[in-house]
Amino acid sequence: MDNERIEELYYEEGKKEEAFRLIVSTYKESLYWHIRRILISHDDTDDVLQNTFIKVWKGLDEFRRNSKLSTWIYRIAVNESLNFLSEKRRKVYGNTQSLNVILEDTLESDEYFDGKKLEIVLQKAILKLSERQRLVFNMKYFEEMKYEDIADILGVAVGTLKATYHNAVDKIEKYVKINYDII
Amino acid sequence: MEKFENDNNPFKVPEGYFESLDEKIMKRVTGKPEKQRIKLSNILMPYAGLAAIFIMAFLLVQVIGNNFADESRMLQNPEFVKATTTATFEVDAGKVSLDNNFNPSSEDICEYLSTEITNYDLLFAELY
Repeated sequence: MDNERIEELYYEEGKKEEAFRLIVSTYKESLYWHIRRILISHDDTDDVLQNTFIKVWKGLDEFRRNSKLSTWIYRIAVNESLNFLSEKRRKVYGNTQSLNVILEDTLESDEYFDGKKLEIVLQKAILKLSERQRLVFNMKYFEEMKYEDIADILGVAVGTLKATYHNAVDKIEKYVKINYDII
Repeated sequence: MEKFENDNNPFKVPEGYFESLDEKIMKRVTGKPEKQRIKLSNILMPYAGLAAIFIMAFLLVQVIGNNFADESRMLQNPEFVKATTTATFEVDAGKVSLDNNFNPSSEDICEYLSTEITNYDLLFAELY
């Protein structure tokens, strides 16, 4: 089911709910993994994913076809995730800890993380990146998105994205080289 | 960047998470409860229970009512009243009788006792 079909269904009389069901079934898994790589914790991801879909449902009437449906949904998910992280940092840690430390703690305590040696090192390397670098790296490396789509979602120029991604890769490779044998 | 070898997804989800996610989200979004299959037997069960209670109560009333009716009918019958009221005990100066027709002689009693009581020593011990 492509996005155009979902949109057509949405504009049909009395088909809004059916269209939304299709959105949920189409995007739930990819959106989950997208949010999970930002938030690390399953429980946090579950909350944010549901909130994202609620925002999609409420915003469907305002959604105009000047951007792709998938881009619009991913943009909501990214905003919800980043807002959640800054709220968590403020409420739970009183802004005393950096996000990297918070997420590293979360990684180690999450019961639904089961990584081998290399996977743990890789995840820790990703958590050392800046927020922008992390987002770009996850979308490009794990989700294999096109630069153009990432640029639409994050509202950044493609050239900037490419530079950000390459910087992120450099940092990760250096971290893994140093830490893979130590751990 | 080349993909790392063996970089499987280390993040896991609880079993059945994605299967139940659609309904969970739809429930939150539309406020409609999850669709459930309702069995006919589940609907009829309370009514069947009530019907059984009424039937039991009806049968109980029928049985008790019939008993009262029979008793009152029998009490109105003089033959029945006579037959049930003649069996009375009379104890008077050593004479025991169950009813008017039963009046054993001394010999009958002695004979009865000689057949029934075999432990004479015990009997005499009781008497003396």
